[in-house]
Amino acid sequence: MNILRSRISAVLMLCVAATMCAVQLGCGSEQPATDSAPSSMPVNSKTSAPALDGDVFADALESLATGGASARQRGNVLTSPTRRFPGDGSSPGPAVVRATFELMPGEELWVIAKGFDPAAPANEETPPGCGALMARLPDVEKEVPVPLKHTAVVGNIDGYIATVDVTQQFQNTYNSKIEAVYVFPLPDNAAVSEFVMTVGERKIRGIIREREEAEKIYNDARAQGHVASLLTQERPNIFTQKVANIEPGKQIDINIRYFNTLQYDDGAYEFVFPMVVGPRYNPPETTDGIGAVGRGNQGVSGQSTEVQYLTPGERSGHDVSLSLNISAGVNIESVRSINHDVAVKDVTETERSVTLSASDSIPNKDFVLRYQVAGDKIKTAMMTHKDDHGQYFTMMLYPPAELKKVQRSPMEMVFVLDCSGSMSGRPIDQARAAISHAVQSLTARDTFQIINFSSTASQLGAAPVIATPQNIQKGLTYLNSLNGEGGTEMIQGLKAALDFPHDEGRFRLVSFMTDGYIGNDHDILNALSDKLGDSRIFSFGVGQSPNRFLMDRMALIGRGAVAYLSLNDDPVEIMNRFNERISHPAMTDLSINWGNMHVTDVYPQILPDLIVGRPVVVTGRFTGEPSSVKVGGRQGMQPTSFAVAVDAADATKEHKGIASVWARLKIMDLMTQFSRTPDQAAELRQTVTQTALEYSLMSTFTAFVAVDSMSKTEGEFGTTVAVPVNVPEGVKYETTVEN
Amino acid sequence: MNTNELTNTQSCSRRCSRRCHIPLCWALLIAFDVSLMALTYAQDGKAGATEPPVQSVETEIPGPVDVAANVSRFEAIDVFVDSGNQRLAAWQLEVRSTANDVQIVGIEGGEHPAFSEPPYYDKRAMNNNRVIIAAFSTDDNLPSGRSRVARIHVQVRGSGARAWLSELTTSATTDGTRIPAEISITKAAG
Repeated sequence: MNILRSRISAVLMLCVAATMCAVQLGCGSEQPATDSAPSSMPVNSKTSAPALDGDVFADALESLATGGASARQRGNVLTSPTRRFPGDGSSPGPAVVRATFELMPGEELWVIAKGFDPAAPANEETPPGCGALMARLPDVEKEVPVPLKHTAVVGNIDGYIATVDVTQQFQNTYNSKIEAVYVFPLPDNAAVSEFVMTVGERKIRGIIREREEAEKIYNDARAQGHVASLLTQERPNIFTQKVANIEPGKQIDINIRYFNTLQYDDGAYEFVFPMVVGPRYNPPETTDGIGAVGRGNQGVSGQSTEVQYLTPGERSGHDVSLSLNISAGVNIESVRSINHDVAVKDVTETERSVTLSASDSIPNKDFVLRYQVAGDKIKTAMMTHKDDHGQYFTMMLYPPAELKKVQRSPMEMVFVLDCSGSMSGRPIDQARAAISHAVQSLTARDTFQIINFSSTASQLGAAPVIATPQNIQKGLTYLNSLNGEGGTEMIQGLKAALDFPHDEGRFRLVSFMTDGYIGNDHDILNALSDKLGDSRIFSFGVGQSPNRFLMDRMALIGRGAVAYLSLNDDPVEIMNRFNERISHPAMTDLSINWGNMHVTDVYPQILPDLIVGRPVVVTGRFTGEPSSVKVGGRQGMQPTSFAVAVDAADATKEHKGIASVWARLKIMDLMTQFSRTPDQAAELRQTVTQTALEYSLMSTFTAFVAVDSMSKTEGEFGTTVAVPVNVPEGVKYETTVEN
Repeated sequence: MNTNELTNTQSCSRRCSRRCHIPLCWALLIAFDVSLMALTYAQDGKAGATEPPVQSVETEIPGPVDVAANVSRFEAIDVFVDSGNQRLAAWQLEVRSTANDVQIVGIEGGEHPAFSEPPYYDKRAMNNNRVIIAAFSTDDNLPSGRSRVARIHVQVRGSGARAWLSELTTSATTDGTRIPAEISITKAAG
């Protein structure tokens, strides 16, 4: 009997095929099928009864209700979940007929969905149909077909330089050709230097071109039906990948390689791979921001770049794999992944192999890996590289141990809390807990102020108050009254934090607690530069996928330090580290005597302060032999210096990525000038472009393009399909995404 | 000083001058130069006397007629290296068009598995219509004879043929020995 029942599937299958009923299950198309249409991608799906037990499928299985013979109506309902695609809000859905029937344990249900007419109208508003079958289960996220199937990340870390290969596998599951568009993040210091498109077995290396030129080549190729791809940079940490003319059933892989340096913080290196762009807020009248819109609502934000987000309860099939090989050069004491489950394999005392768990493959939070190295063996390290451009070095300067012996002077602490909608919920809880701990750690010599901003800014009091127990209690009460809602008018928070008279007797320190989800990054950074004065900025990136470019640059401009407060971090631990840093004076006004090296083009051009626990990475060009250097500066009012012995073996070891890292830093520095000096914009733009082309690097003004002239597809270029992404874990869709 | 020797030397010089019309000092200088060249070649070892000269080949790639100047098309140029019966392990070559309406839009690897990965290009030499590419392989299985080592995808505007120049600057075996080889390019069959 069971065998008989289990063969219901076959009966159902035959019914579908024989009647050519236009059953569409979860393929995303809401176009009616035509009888004459060939089944372009017949997909079957097998679902076992135990998995279905008690579950309900929603929507259609038309003729099965009558043709389904022995199917008894009880609990299980097969459905074709309603799909929304770009602009499909008004699209008429297919005629839906429900069929309910029962499946017993051990039974199977097979359904074959029929493909739709490949020649069906395809435009930006109406997505192509597909033959994919998807079942909807209650309490389980609805799966949405997207043209990005998988992202594979393979990283190799040598010292503190990472070489990372990212492969994006685009796949057309629809039944007419598409152009896939994916807006994705990379680390803001990533020097993207290689780009390869794989079509079938063939690999085509992309060419770096001026952006407009690359866009024109891509558009021409797209219009002529060639498979082509284009990579552009929207922000230093936001990129757009376009792949044109992907035919039904075909897969196009894009491989991107980048180099970047890792951050070192209190004895631990940190490798970060961002996986999703958080929903940005753009001030009114902005058009060149980063829009955040719901899936299918293209153009709603009015911004030049848009990220489409999956609605709550939706999930795309896009997943990510990540593996990392660490060669630290010193003993690794511990490895900790902040947001993901990982498997760590000890290779040697100085090497580890890390793999992301397959069960944690949803790309909705940054991958952050911290590995603690043997602290007493850490030495200032110089690494060099020589090629036909010349010689390059990168050097990590560690603060002298003496700094820890000196206590800080009284402080004027200003806490600026982002209370916008994107911080609503867990992020603001984390930030409040962190500030609360920091406020309670102040002494009566200090003063403090709490400022919050969303669409406007407000603050605890008219001026900073002495950190007495009463005032601290008052501050905590105020802090607890703050919630996340409204826009992210960060400029208001900046003004409130920096536009009031400086208490000369105290060292002003401003700490920003924000996810940084804004689209006008450069406006904020320029305002910060203008208003900074003698203040120091400590930026705290809050949440699972903060805007690290903004956070890093704020700290750099503000001559402070950056820290990240994930939802999985202990805020007390993070703030204790912060307190430790600010408990000792920084070594300021740094200068370096390069000894026998003739050094030029050093970045950062203005050396930041050396803060306890935070080294400074200096990168530049040189001639001569690597030699010991002497770092000078001030500790309070006293001049101080320390020698840095350079290990010849380390220094002369070959490190290919250094030239790219240096060029990337140069470009970032030029771009900072570009946004601050409009009168020199043309000249700076030319220098950025030349540098990027010479080193084959992505920049705002350059792009990678690859065209396969050998493959020419038929007809128009097809439907443009954006890859919708999850809002970062912990971020509320309702308060951040436009619809 | 032995007067006989002096006499013999002077006599020899005179004889030489008479017979060859080359002064003895010149003859010595030539002999020194030849020795120096031999020494240089010997020091270069494998790259020495057998190093083939760089050859530049001009090829005309046909194009459609009656196409407006602003209308573009995409096509591919196949680059072949013929290393005869030697196994080719490394090569470097330059391909450039004499026309300014040509843009390189992608670089693909060759037909042989040893060179199927897309070759790297010289970033500094990269231009719209010029590229220097190179590759090496440590595989045991290496191509010999005529093999397509790369395919260059280009965008061309307007009608008519385009002239291309190709130069094979390096061709070598696994142990680095330079070997003679010939370069040729053709339009890839679509």
